[in-house]
Amino acid sequence: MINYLANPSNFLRFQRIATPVIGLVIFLTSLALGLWLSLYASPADETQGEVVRIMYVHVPAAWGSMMAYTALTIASITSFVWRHRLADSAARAFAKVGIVFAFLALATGSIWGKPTWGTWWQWDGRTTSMLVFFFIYAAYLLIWSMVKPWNRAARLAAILAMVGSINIPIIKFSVEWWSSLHQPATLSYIGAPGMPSELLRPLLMMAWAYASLFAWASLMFIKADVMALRARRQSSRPISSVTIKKL
Amino acid sequence: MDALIARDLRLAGADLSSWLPGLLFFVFFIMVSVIAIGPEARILRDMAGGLIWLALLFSLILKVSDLFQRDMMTGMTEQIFLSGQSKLQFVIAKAVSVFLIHLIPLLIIIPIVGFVLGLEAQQGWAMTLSVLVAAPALIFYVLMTAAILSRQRTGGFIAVIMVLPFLIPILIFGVAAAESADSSSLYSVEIKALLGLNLISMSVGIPAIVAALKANIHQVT
Repeated sequence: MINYLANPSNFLRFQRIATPVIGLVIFLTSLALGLWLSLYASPADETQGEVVRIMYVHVPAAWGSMMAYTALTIASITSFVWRHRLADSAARAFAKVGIVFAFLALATGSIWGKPTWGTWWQWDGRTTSMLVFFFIYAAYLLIWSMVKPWNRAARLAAILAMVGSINIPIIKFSVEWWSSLHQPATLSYIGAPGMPSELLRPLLMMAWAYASLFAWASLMFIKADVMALRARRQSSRPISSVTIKKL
Repeated sequence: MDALIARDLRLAGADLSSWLPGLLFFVFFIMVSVIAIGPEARILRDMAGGLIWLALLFSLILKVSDLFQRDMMTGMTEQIFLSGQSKLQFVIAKAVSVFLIHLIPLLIIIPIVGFVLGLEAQQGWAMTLSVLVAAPALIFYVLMTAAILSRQRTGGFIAVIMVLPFLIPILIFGVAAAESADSSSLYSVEIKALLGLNLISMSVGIPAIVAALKANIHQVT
């Protein structure tokens, strides 16, 4: 399966079917079901009231951005070891989706923070580490836009992504340690075991919707990348001219 | 390895502009911060640790663009890689010379700056100690960024964005170590955490530096 898809032509053939299936069928149905579950079929929170429904768009975005980084790391290792072009396209696509998810997590967290914490922004551990995470994505994508030529950018970006994957847990724990020094925890851990299933079901459905959105957007980005490379290769091919003399 | 370090030292000795601006920047950053914050002694004393660490980080990061760049442009790095010498030695020699050329002057001036900001002598020494303990981690992450950007002519802002996430744990534990050093012993948790970060930065940073230099050397098409 992986070997088959590693060929760009085969990949393009695969995504022609997979993109509409994932995008139209899986994503839209799970989004509709998730929205119905989270906005209508689930109860409001005892202390937070209706505001708790922001959780169903906030938590999956945070999970999605971490999932995207995991995928980015795997793609980067693949690219670094086998120098496979499609792995580079994939890594870049994952980063683009990941940075959007990280931004969404920050933005929805801020909107959620206003009614529950009473402030738009709180320098607590998870908010701060998510912000750092956002900047790691930004640095990764900046390498791609800055370094020429393409192969060199791919190597350097892969190196940064791999070093980042080792450092992210360290950064996360050190930031949490830092914020615990400066202030008490303001919010209990949401999504901890013991969450009632009425809240868990819409959350997982929305997480599934985000995951399929991730898959769909990544497929589109990879396709765009493969097409752009092809176009560039065709245009850089020297024009051959043949003159035939009639004797 | 000695020859490599000696070469870097000679170059730095011949060209004051390679290390003196970093030192001046460090002092200027502190001065401008004091002007921005206001001269009230109590506030300055509370902020001294954070300010010194910030000035140190930025004065190191702004060096990034010329740590590997000159060697890369003159083909020196390529010769080292072609000569079959140990790349580990090359990277370690570079780290040692960065420590000697760029960090030692800062380490000397930190107690003085601390004194100017109203720290007690002992707290000033604690600052120096915390920077000294964190030095390997600082240097290897900065070198990694320098290696990644060694072909880039303009890399100032991207260097800051790229290296700061990796330096955040060092900053957190470094400031905490400086603050705790006068109350607890040398073997405090923060110092141990910094030592751990040093080990990680070496085991991750050295291969990353070599790989990044290689990627920048090879004439890829």
